Amino acid sequence: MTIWHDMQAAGLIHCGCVLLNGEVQHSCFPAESKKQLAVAKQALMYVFRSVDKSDKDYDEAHIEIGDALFSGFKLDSDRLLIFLSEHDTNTLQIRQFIDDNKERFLQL
Amino acid sequence: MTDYKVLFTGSVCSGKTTAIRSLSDIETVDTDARVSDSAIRRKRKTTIAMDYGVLDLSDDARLHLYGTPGQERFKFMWEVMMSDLVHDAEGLVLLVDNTRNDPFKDIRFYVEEFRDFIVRRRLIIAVTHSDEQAEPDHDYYMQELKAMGLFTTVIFIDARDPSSVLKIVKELVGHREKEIAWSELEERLAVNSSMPQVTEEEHESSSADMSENVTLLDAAMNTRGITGAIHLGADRKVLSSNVSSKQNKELLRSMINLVTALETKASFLGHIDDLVLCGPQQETLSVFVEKEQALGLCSDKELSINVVKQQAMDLLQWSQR
Repeated sequence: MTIWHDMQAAGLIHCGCVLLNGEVQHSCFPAESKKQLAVAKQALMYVFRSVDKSDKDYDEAHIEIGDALFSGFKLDSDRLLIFLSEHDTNTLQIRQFIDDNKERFLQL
Repeated sequence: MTDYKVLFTGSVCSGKTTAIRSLSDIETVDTDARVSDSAIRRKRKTTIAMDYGVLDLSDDARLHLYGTPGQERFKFMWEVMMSDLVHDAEGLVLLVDNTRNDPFKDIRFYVEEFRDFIVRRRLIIAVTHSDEQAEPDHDYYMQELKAMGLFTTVIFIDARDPSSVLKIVKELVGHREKEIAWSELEERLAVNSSMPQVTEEEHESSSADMSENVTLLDAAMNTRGITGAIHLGADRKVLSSNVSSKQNKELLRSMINLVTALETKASFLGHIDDLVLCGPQQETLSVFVEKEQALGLCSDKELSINVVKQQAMDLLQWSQR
């Protein structure tokens, strides 16, 4: 079982990926969701780039578009976790999962 | 004896409790508590679990009236009611407050939430508060609902007036219960009327007092965990703000601009409902951007984002009042 499966089984996400310096390092986005990944990646990187100018300590962003929620979590200064989930997902649970499994994500 | 059940739902202040009180032959069972969120703009008490009443239609038929709480944070009760108490209901009455800025947003939301429930049941849309806000009118509702693929009945009612609310009952069970003496029923229920016994002038003045007393910012701050709010107009100039931190205020404004920029740069995305930023020690910042207005909220990081979203939705829907 991968970490993505664990999150999917817990009903937290549809799919996710790790970006290293803006490039996809590991992903479970299916081929048919390529466009959604591109959207999530561009939008969240844009948000963090803009917000970092004011406060670098914000490490979590969520963009709700219709039924979809695109979430970005900074793992460290180089790595960004990106998730696609249902719009009403409990994001506190995703945050908790990341905190509990940070090492697993870093090893991807 | 034939027992029918009907479930009333709709946004906060749409008139669910009042409609059930208007129809009930018994003292209604309600679960009112002091309002502890943005609904303070409209009322002082709200339903937190459910409303229940009973209407004797005839010697052989009875209608059980159930009402959900309006706030989305009590959504678990919607589930409990749908799966248990009213799983065998005749229909769902969706009360729509005509004073909301976009009543169709509420319709889309509730139809989606109750989609599985209404698949095999009647859906009746009952528009309330049209005495305060006449538009959209019946024709406009029918036209918009048709465009949404919803072919259903729309009735304009005054939830305080039993004879008006009875129109829903007629629509729901009238074709099956031919023995109901509607005029007698109407007379009997007249005692439940909560129509104001004041002149129109006095009524208008008291309504104005209510909304003037609680500003949008005051209403936002009435939710425990919300620590600041900023309201911007269509030109993105600040209409009002009580965000004390200069940095947070600037961040909220730049987030609103970010949403607009993202929507412009990637128009295929569609409308961005909200953007939320969180940090380990920081207050959570959320922005909700519409064409005519935008709202930014600061909140404690422990406060669920879904609660913040619901509050923002209600605040924006009542912003013109």
